[in-house]
Amino acid sequence: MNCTNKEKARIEFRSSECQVIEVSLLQRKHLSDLFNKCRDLYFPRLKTISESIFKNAVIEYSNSIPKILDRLIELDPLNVSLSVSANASLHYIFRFRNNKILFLETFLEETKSNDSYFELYGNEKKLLYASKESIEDGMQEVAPLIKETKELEQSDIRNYKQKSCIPAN
Amino acid sequence: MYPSKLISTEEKVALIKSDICGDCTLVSRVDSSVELTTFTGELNVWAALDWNKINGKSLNILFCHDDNHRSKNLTHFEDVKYEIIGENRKELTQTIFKSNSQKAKIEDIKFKFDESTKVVGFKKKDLEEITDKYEKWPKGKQKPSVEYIFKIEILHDPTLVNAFHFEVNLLGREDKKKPEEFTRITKNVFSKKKDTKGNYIVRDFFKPIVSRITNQFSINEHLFILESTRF
Repeated sequence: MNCTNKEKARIEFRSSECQVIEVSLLQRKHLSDLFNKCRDLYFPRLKTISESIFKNAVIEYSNSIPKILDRLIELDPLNVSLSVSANASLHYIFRFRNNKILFLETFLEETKSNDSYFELYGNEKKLLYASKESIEDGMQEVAPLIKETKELEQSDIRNYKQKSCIPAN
Repeated sequence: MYPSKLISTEEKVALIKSDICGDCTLVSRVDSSVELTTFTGELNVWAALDWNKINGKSLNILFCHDDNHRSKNLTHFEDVKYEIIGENRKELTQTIFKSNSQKAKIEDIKFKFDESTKVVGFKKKDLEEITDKYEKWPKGKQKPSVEYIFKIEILHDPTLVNAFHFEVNLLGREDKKKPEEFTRITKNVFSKKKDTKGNYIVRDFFKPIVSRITNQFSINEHLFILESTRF
């Protein structure tokens, strides 16, 4: 079959687009497998607190991990970690290029809805962002700050964002 | 036999007080079932210490091993592996030692020593120097509506059976208050404001503040694992 240059170019473009999608899917699967491994290893410890906290953790994880992965793929983390604490919370650590580290802690509650707390640190361990947010909103807030190569001063971020830098009640 | 070096005496307590410095290590035991590192290589700061119980947290001192510390040979990180058992446990472990009239008799002390218990530690100053501000930034405001300053206090708190026992306190105050008005931050800090039902609004400062402390510990790699080199 004879193709015009324009058609060839379109096919090549589609092929590279497919490769990008494939890489993203692979990375998503890889990260998802890592988190699932952490869940299987560490979540059973929560049973020592209570069976309901353990169940809460499993549900919280199932609901939040797709939202985390959606954002994480585009941020291309160097390392990720998930663990649980004795005081009933889920802890994620995400390490990125340019020395940025994101901590995400979800406090598991027995009688009210769970809360999540974000802290992002940059070069020289400077606190860039801290806020109690939903997983979706928090990941949306930190994504541009992680991508940002030039670090903004904390005050600049506060003024720019016009919103809480540290948790609200 | 329970080690006599751990039993409090006035002389020992005075020596410890004079010997302690910021570079000395504070150690804590961790249940052997706890994984201290995640399989992706992160030190599991959150699982290693029960940070929710930071107020009143028990720690043991491990003196710097240099000539400035006369007590340097008195402490070993495995001292925390001794766990008091028996009917008088509460009295022995919760009574604060004040004078030699309280000195515990070694034959009255029942204990177990679990070799498999894990031990973690950090420099005293690394926890003490964490002081920070908690702020609430309402939408559209240029100033935080709440500022809450917190700090850590580590006190020598010798019990009858552990002269090397220290206790942690998490203290806080509203920014507007005088510096001397620091009080223990408990799980719930009550606001002076009431909600529509007439109940005082609970400001849940505690968890984010504890989160800040643990994140600082993680990012600065303050926590380390102490392991025996014996074979």
